[in-house]
Amino acid sequence: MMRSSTLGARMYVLWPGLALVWLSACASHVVLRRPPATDTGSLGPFQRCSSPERPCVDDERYDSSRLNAAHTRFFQLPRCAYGIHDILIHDSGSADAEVLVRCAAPGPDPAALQPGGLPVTAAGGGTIAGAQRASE
Amino acid sequence: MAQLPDLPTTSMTRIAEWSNFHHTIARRPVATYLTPGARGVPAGVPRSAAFIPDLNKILAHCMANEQRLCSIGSRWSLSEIIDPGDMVLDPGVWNEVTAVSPDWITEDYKHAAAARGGVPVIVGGGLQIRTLNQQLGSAGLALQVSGASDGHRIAGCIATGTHGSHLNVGAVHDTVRAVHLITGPNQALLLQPSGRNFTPELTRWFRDATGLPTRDVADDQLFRAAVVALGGLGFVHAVVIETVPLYEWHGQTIGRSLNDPDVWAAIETLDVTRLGADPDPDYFSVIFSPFAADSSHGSFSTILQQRPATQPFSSAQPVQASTSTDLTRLLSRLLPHVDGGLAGTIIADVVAQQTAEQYMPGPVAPVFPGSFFGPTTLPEGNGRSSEVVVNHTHTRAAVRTVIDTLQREGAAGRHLLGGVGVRFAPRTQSLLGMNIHAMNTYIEFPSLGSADTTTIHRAIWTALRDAGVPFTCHWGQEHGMTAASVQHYFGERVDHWKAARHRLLPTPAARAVFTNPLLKNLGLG
Repeated sequence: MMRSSTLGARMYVLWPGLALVWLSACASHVVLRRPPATDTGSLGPFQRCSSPERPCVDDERYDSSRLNAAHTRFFQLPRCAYGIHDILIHDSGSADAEVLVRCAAPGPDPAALQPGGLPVTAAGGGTIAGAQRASE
Repeated sequence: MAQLPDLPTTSMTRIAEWSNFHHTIARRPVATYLTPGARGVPAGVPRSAAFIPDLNKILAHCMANEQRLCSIGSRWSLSEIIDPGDMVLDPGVWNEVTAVSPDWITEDYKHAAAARGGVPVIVGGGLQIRTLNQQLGSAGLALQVSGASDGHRIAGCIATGTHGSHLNVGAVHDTVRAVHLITGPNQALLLQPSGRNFTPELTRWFRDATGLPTRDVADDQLFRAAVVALGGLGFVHAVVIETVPLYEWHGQTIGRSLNDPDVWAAIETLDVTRLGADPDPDYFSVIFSPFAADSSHGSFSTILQQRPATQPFSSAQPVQASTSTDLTRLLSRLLPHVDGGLAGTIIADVVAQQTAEQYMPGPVAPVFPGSFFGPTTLPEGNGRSSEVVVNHTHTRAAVRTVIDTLQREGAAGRHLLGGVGVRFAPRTQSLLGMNIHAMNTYIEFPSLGSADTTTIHRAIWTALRDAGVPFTCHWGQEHGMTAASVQHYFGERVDHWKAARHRLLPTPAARAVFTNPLLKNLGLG
């Protein structure tokens, strides 16, 4: 027990010191954006994602200067054929912040989906919509 | 080695440090990480056929060079079956879900499936269970059984014998009705039982959809081998799984002491009425907390009934890991060094307390299977786990031996930082599914990793052998299996499986592509 208590105390002593160094060399913001070659322009308002694991909502503020604030690091997102699966901004507050991105696997073919039904195998190697099949 | 040919739809990456989910294999270099489809679908080509030419080239290259190709799932396995080797294929692009036309289902199978409301669905081998649950649920369907959580890809899930605890269904592989297997460049077959579930039209559909010459094969021995293939029979492009109408789980979790006689009687007889539950459940599992005090809850029995859905489908909610990975690593490294009797007692108390907090007794509200067996809260990067499987007739002796061993190891200062899960499933038709008995008991001991974990696992395997309890281990977890123990447990099934492997992969070059260290270590490949 003594050892773990001692370690705990060290950790508490160490943390404020670390935080001090960290603040003096930090970047405060991270911007992830598409590479220029694939940029098709923006669409709609900013989406604010501030509650963990909750849907993002339209931001009430539209001020693109926020993308260019001081202490911001910019990263290009990869070209993912089917969108992005997840993003990790590692050490987001530090000058060494880096970003890890995983691409998403493709989703079902929207043309083959009907509400409430799976696509159904069809002759020739294709599929037909489930709802369409059921009505035949 | 010769260079890979040009692969227009596939990204090719060198990975300097590759790790599986739990880091039982960590920081491995992978010379070639192949991701078909990463560059999108070429214009004018159906997606189902778009990436097959690249796959053919990859397989031809591997066969010419006798190069192992590791087709990767969600990296959840802990055993050497997932050792990546030099070349990894990420099959995530093969993730489509398609119902089989009712016109292509045989009358016999239609009749057999009707009692369950069974609907056969083609599932790409690279599809994650979570995504499958979502797509099925939206269509009013559900898997009959899945593993305890939903992060696996379907091909890896069934290849390792992943189960669940459905008393009337079996493991996930027991819901597979056909397998579309690619055994080489331009070589594929649709495997199904000799009695046939599907007409040859389904095979033609695979041929037309993929552009692959596909043989129509109805053969019990090959099919029984292929549903638990251990990565050793070819590339599992897709499986046909029998789904059922969407349902909910209803029931309760009951907390009792570790040595409660009713709990021990229930795992031995599967009669849960002594616990105050309704008879004949569909799902039954018990989590034992081996370091719990006699006066507190040391067992948590979850007893569920399967009932038709009463609410509109909703997906599983995302969860966060129960604690951060860096914290678990810190704890795991510190704990073995916190010695002394008092510290040992505290560690045992903390483990018991954590277990009790995760398995709160009370009702299980009506919940969809994809939510109940949903995202894991296990922190990535420091989990360890082994699971032994025994004939249900040996349940009491086996569970007692496991818990006694954990307590003995704990008294010696080596604590398993986790609990013991006991689950059940009936007999499989597959050759190498672990559930070969009329009823089977899975005893899993997952934990955070520490310097003592391997010693504890070995102590359990040794104690079971000393107690004369025949067992095997989960193919995808840390294990104490040897070629001799596998032969002893599975008997002639091993020979049938190896014979099937030679029929499906008749050349040494083909077998060199579809192999892995687990097969080699256990005399299977």
